[in-house]
Amino acid sequence: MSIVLAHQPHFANQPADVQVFWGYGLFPDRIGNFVPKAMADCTGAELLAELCGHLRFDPDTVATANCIPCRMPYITSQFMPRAPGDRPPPVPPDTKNFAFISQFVEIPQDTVFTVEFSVRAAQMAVYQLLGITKPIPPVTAHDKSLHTQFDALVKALK
Amino acid sequence: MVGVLIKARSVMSYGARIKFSAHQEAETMTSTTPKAYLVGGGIGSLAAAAFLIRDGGMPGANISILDAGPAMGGALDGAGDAERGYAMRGGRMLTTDNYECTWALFKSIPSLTRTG
Repeated sequence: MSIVLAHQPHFANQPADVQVFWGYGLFPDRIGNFVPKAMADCTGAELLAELCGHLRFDPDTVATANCIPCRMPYITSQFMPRAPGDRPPPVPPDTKNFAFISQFVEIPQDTVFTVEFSVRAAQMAVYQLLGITKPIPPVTAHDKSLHTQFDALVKALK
Repeated sequence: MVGVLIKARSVMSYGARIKFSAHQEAETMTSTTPKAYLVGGGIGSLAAAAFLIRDGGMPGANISILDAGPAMGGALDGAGDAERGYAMRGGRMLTTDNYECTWALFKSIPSLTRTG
């Protein structure tokens, strides 16, 4: 299970004494380590019990929590293996009046599953179709940064 | 010129390709009215609409965003209350400075608390 604790408040109508977080599991058919059920069959309370088991938290920690189970069966589809040509560029070659936007296009260097990818695809599509020549901010080459390369080196030597 | 934008997710997930008829121009060549149709009301379409208006000079009235649901925003939804709990499909995770296009766009759009 993975959890994300975002900056609070996360919702405009969220009271000061209420905190929210979200989490997920990638394998909903597997039996839990602490709750003997598949994640997909769990109630919200059971999901919290499983999470408390992993975090070594006392179950009382979530005594007043309300967990809403959700299923998102297509969420990892963006990461499916693909070959060049499987996904079109935002504006396919010789195309004048339509484009593809959002996550299932190819954009060199950028990363799917991000809001940025959707916005960048939209900007590329609009600029190309309308002939707008303003520059589009380039993708920052974080993989080339010294910090990242140093981290990679340290990891490789471990 | 006709700007027709098709959101790829819907096309691929449901196998239904939505067809568009190009905007038919009237008698004169000079009275072309660009129009845009955006399939799906997620951040991709909303961003495209914003770029069409801000950088393409397209009137908002010429842009149609089509969505099967009642609310715009796609996976960037989120609703609820403290009693029943909250739910959303997409985590925001906008804390990073690395979203070059996103922040450049957002900075130009007024919000409830900032004038843009």
